Amino acid sequence: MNRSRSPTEAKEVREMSVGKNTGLWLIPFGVAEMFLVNLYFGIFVAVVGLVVLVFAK
Amino acid sequence: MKECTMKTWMTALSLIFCPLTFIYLVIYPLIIPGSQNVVWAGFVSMPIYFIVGAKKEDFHRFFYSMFAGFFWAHLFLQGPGWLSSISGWNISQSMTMDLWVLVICAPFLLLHLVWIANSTWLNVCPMMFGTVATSFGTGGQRPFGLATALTMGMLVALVCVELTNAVVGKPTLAQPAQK
Repeated sequence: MNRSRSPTEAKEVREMSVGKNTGLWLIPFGVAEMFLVNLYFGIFVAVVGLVVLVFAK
Repeated sequence: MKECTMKTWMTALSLIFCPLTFIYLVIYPLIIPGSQNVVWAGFVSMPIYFIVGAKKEDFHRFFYSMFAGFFWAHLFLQGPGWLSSISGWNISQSMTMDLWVLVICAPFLLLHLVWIANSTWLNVCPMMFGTVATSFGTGGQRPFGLATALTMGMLVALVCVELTNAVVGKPTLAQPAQK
């Protein structure tokens, strides 16, 4: 049976948690830092972002 | 949780701060090679974290904001060079730097204080400015040593406050008027 979703339910499906969002933002920051700061430091920050993205609740 | 007067809390904090700072100064050179050594940077992040109470609930926000700060620091550092390399650009070096800071500060602050302030943990601009200042201090070099020193500085502040709370309790907010 089809049940229409309330606007609140639809919002819950779309939104990412604050932790995962932080990880997602750290990845482009890390990629930019590969060029701006230092290749290894940029990779480190991008990996930190990836770990936060995967493991954050 | 026990409670104590602000004077007792500050006394305990002062006594706990000294050995912890000593430990930081001893440990840092052991884990960071000489070429990356920027032990002083810990004393930039420490007061920034102390001033908001060094709460453990805030640590992750400060920690991740520091990494975003490196991006802005190097954008501030390298941007004037990009502008100066434009052919026909004949504005003085210091004015080029000032103009770059004027332009970059807006997206920097808008991004972290407005656009992604509530949806991410990258919203502690004082910590980012601390990273910018220390990166300027090292001329953009030694990022690993800097990140370690900034993190350890915050850890010293965090452990100081947690230990003080454990030993003497939290300070009472209602204080009798001092004569």
